[in-house]
Amino acid sequence: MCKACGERVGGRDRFCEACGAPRSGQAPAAPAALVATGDGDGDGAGGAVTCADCGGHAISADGYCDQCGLRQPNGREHVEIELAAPGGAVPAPIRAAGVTDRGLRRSRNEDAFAVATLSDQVCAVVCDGVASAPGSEEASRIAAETGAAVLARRLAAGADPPTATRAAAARAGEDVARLSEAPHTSPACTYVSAVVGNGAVTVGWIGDSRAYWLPNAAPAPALLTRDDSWAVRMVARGAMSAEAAWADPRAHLLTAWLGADAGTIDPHVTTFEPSCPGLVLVCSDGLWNDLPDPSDLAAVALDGPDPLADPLAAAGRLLRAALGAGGHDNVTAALIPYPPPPAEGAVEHAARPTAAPGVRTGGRSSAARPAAPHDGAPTEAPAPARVDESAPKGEPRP
Amino acid sequence: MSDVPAFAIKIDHNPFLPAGGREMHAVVTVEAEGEARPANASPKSAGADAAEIIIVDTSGSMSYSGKMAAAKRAAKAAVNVVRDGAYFAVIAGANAPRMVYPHTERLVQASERTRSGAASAIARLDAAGGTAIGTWLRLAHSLFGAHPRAIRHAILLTDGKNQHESADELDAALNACAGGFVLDARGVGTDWEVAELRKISSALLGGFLDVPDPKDLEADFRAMAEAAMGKEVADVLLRVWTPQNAELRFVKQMLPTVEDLTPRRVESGRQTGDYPIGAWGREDREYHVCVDVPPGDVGRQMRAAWLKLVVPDPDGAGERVLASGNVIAEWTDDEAKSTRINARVAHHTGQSELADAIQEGLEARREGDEDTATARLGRAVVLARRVGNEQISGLLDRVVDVVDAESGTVRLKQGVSKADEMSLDTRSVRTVRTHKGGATPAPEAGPADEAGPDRGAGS
Repeated sequence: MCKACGERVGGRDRFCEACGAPRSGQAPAAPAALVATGDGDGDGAGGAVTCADCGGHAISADGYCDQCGLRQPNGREHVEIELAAPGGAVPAPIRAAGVTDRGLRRSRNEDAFAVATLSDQVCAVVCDGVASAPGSEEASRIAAETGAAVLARRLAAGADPPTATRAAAARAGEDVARLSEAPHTSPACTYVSAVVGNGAVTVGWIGDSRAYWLPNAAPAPALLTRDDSWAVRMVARGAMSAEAAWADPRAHLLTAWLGADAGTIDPHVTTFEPSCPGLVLVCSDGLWNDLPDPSDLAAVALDGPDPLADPLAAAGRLLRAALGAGGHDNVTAALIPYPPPPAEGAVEHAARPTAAPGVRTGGRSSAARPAAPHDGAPTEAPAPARVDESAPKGEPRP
Repeated sequence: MSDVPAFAIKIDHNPFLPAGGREMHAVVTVEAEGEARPANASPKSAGADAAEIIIVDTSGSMSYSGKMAAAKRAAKAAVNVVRDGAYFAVIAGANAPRMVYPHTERLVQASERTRSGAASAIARLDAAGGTAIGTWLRLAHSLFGAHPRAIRHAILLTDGKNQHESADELDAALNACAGGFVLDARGVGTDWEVAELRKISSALLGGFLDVPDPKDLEADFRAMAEAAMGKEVADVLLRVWTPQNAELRFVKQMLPTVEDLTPRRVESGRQTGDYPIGAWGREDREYHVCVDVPPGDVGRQMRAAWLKLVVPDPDGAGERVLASGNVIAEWTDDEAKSTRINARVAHHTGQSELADAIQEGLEARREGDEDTATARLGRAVVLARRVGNEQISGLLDRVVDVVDAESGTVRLKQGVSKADEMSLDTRSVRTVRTHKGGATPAPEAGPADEAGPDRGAGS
């Protein structure tokens, strides 16, 4: 394992394939990124002492009240996260925000999301557990966490966004595959990631979670992804009209996913350069099922005083719209304002070699730019509280 | 206690309730698995002792139709399979009980010498006097009292009604003996009463059967004693936790026989009650649990029942939990889910109703209420076919003429033999296994994967 970026290192390699750090020697203190996950603590019920329903004082290890028997919330029912730009500015500009919610009809929230920020790039990952596969609640949590962490590490190490996107999806897929105990009960989830910054937006996905571009000016809002679903495949083959395909009961069947039974992970990756400021939305189907049209999403998300400065409020508006439409599924929306507000106070600093053997460059834009070093370990979000990164997490290293 | 079988609890149920729904049914399968110990193997040092008492009715009526000779052969056969080192005794029952072997009121350890001594004593048995079963059981109970940690089992053979003590005296004896040992009973001939033997064996957590032909007794006794020697854990409790403000409607054993355990509840803690389920070897039994829970909101999940198998420690050093299982309820507004009926729950509901229909039908027939008898036995014909209980279907055919098996149209037969009627009554509670695969999917499981590699999305 590379001590610098956490990637695996081959037995004979002297340098990390991913970030180029020497195999031995002093490792940098931490990846140069802030990562926040929207998964709650996963087993919040274990720590609870009072039943949310009857006020009983004993909750079993498996999450049910010893008195009234009701399953206790596990901390994932509703989670909000706000991620500020690194640096010490107060108030810090918000680089990303997201919300995930159980919805009105499901017994649990199998969606998860994570956001991360570097000096000049911002990442978000949204995953949706496949309800018919037991354990998918855990699959989505792990995939979102791994995806955001690997994206941030790879970008910090100088990888170009498409390369980092593919690597992150592959690692998330491996971690989800490891959850499997039997081939027919493999936990599974969808995956969508966005990397925003340096004049571009790079999106990668597997499954039917989506990314949208919601510009704050003239150009039309756009869907950036194309679902791996039965309906989309039928339409693409010309076998059915869009209307007939989406009306079919099989419409939402996935044709690709993360999981032990998913085969090789081959994410779709696309990059575009926005021509104006706007919001990049990554979301689960619990949102877009009710608001599939990019214009409708844009109208809701941008319908606030300063949507680009307050993405959490915009995410809240999207959630309310989905719940208002029935809330049939879990709902997750993560928003990244474009362009990312600058990291005030951040010191540009060459923390580690960026052109060492093994670093894949040659991608887009300023892939090899060093990231702002940051002392704090990747920050876990204490759910369901908001993550407030406005306080400095540490001093830039000399 | 490495010798104890590995216990497991499996739950089959449809977890989904409609909005406002309260009634949750589950089939609880208890399995004790492991390598079967040969019945005649010597006891392992860690294993529990076995104690076996054979009670033979020696009332005057036993001297007819070769019953006494058959009973002697049967008792000897049972003694012969008591393994070396296990404790046993033989009791003769009449107006009062009498020790046959040993001569004093105690159990002896089985050996070549004691088994042959018992055989000689059995050979000298004579039939004379009346029937007072309660007194016989009380003697057995006091003999077992010296072996509280052993697996305690008795076999009772009788051919007549309990005429020489009152029903109250018998009830008092059963109350005194309950929990003291497990009793399997056999009725030979046609002068005994089915309801009485059912009450006795049920109170003592055992089974009972009719043995129409005395010559079948020997093999039957040997099998019972062998089964008793195969038991490895005594005094197991089924512990049931239910939520606050829930009502446990019933707990029934459904396999191998229908046995309503509901009235046997002993409170064992807050929202928790224990149901004694006797001694266990390598075997499996099924129970049907029904609980009314306070309704939760759509999307919520509740533990509707928490089941544990518990072995109390007579030394009070703490009990052991052998296995546990959960009945989870989830409220949904998806009618396709909430209206689904679990196949095993349906099967056992049918068998339970079948036992009731037969017993009520026969009771009505005895009382001369032919309309009720025809209706109930007709219903039994339908249910027996539905649950696939061929033995009961065959026995019903001897009591009624089936006009239409689909609708349950039947005519009562005239001149039904007493033995056939008793056999149907006795066996009405003996159930058949469900075939595997009656389970419904777990909560939140969607429809099965449909096309090739596609899978249902999280939507």
